[in-house]
Amino acid sequence: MKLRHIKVAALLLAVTFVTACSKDDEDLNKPILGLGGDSWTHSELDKWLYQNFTVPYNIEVKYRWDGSELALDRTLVPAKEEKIQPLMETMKHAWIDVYEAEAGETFVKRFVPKQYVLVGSPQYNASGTITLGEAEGGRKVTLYRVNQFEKNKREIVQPILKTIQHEFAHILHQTVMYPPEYEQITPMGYTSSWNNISVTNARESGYISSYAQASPNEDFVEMIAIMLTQGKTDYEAIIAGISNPEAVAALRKKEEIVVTYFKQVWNIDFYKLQARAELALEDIAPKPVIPLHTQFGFGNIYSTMMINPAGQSDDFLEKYNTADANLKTAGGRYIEYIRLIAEDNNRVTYQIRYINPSSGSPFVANFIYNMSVDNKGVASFTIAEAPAGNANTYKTHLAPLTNYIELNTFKIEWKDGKPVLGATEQYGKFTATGNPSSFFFGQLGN
Amino acid sequence: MKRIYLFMVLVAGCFLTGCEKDDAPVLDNPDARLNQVLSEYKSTLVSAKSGWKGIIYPAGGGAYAFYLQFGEDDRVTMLSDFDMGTADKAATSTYRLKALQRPTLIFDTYSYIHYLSDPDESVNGGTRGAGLKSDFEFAIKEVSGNTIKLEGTFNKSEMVLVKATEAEAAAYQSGELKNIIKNSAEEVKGKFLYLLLDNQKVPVIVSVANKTLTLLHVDANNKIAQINAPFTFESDGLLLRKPLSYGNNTFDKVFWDAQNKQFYINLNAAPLYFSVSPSPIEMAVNPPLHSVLGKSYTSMQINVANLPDLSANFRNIYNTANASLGTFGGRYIEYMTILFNANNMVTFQIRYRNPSQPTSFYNANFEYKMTLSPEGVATFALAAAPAGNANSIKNYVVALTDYFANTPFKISYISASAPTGSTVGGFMSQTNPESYFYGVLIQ
Repeated sequence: MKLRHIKVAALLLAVTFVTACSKDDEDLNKPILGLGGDSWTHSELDKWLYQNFTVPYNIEVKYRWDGSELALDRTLVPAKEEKIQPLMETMKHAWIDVYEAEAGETFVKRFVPKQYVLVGSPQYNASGTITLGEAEGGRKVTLYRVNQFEKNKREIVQPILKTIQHEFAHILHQTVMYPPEYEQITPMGYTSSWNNISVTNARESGYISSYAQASPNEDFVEMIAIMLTQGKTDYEAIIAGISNPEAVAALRKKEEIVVTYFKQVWNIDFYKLQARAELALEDIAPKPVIPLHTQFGFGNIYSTMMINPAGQSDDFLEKYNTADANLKTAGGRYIEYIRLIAEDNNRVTYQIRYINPSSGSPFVANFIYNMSVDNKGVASFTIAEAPAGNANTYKTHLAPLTNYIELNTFKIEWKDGKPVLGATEQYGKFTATGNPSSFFFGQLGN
Repeated sequence: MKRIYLFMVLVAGCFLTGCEKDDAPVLDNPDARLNQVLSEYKSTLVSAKSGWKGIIYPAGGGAYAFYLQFGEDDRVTMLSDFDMGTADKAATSTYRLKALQRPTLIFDTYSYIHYLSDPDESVNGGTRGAGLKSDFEFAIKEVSGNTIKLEGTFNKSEMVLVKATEAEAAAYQSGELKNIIKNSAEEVKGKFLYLLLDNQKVPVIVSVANKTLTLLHVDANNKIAQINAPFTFESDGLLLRKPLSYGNNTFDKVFWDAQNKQFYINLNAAPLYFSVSPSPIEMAVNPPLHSVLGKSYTSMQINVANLPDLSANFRNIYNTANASLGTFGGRYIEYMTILFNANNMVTFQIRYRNPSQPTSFYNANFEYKMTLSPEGVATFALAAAPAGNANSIKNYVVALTDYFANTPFKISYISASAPTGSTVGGFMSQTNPESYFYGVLIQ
């Protein structure tokens, strides 16, 4: 009987379960409101970003403030609208386009971070440092200090590009790791207090920057970022400025691993990438041009200039050809080329080299001048020594060329207004004052 | 067994009632309601055709005024009394309303509002990494009538938005905000303003740079005390953050009379204009300063570098003496001290330096006998022929010693700018109301 009671109770219980479970959730298709994030009236800027970054590369550029994307304990401010397009244009030209040209569209589409969060101010850290950029898991990159961006200021553009290159390089090594030998090159110096190390000290111990001492990963990406944003010439200048030969060797070894890594893993010629990046930066924020007259002289960067007849101004060429014809009357001798050689005590040798066809040997006629250059780079030549030797023998024949030098003053300039980027051969040009169509130019050397 | 049975029934009962579930929300879908609230807020902001007068009180202190016009296109145009530039030229940026923990108004691209928050201290003179501790994301706390009260989500700064009238909108758009800042700066420059309240001259210090208004008065302990409030500029005057009271007089707004170029307040429905005094206002502290010289204070130091309110007349005399001393091997005055000695003897001490002895300084002591009237007017008569350093420089600094010896001065506590925390005493010429000097009293 007692058992029956239990059975009844159990049955009752079972029934309750059955009824309890017959619930009726009528609407499973409730719309989820606010799905897809914030929305607002699209401005011209929004459309431009969509067309240039979202459509081709699936990049979201988040320039409107979203506190949830950022550190919650820091004071930061949003970006200025008018800074966004110049910044993103720079990024496209000096970073995306550069990689796209060397590594192909697919490579870029595959690896570019998919979200850029732009913040107006720098992020100030308790240690006294400021953060200019951060990357998270290869997907999101946060760029700070956007409000100070100015497109044609190299000192502003270069650090931002360095940040972008730095974060992108992280994505590359997170995808395929660099060889383990890399961190064995300078294994002892990695430290969390990298910010107390000066750049000079870091470089003297074989790291390209202070931050490179933070960890092997940072070291690797700093190498890439600095090589790509400094360009070949300035990178070489950095290396040349290091006095410790072991540090130089370490950096060369790191450079070699970077270059090999790019070739083997990504099939990218790193030096071509570097040259392209340098050109792109030059388009946006050109390097200030150092006037040639401050670099030409005895013991200076350039001390000689080799003048061949090809391409010279008509005025100069006429003198050259007349002198050459005069010289031909002397047993068929003819001018091979002319060199301007800077000597000690502001002297210059105007050296005309000619061939004597009877022997086939070259000879030189040296005319020695005092060259004085004013602060605007205008040079004048006065005879320092009476012509002697070959110069004395043929001075009348060569008079058209020597008169030209003596009777004019010349503005010393780079042939193309500035040094040719990345080229080993550079050209100088001497233009007669008051007559822009009268000039001579030549390859600089030392 | 009965207990088991009972227990089972109880459990069953629980399930029965527990399962009577009804998923349909009593009100509407919460997300839909949230969106509705946000769009209502937006239409409130946008529908104010004449825009809004906004004031932000950053958590870090101070008060800043804005004039804002919210557009349907999620853009906002603003002016601010942050400086003359922001008061003059309207800036446009974006805003949006978003449900964070509360419905929140976010100024989401940089504009004048962000000047206050910028962690770059060069923008706002705040602290590096924190700025003025202000906000640009504001949760809406309350909407009532023409007023919206908001609270910053990061630093908890206060913001109040009040609908502007058509007349105010016209004033802001025609540059009145800039004008009021400019006029105020001119009005207070080099002048001593006071209000005649309860038959007392109450000095008023309007700091345009710090946007604070201060009343000075003598408190119950016979000390000079301050009552002050931050203010913001409006198109027609200064709006105080809180009402200021002196006796039974209370006001919370200072108006600008553009016709007469004067400030006034409204007291009992009548305007009371700010008066301008050519010299600092005397403070009626009891006992008066002249009666405690040599007792409460042993000396008074006059260093022109940190006393910006010195009269032009005194400055000229000082500069003449200093320039003349300069012809004596480049010597120059460092500062002056008036020492109150026993028996009404006073030393007028000029401390100077000689550039050829850069580590030394020299004191030239001129001794005077002071005669004080009961009202506190003092005259000084030379008591001894200058000796030592005083003798060597007396001919160079004669402009100063002559002024001191030939002028009757009323001595009293005054209100004038001096290093923080100092008490100043004034020597006011009784022959020329625009001539006076003052210094820091030393105990």
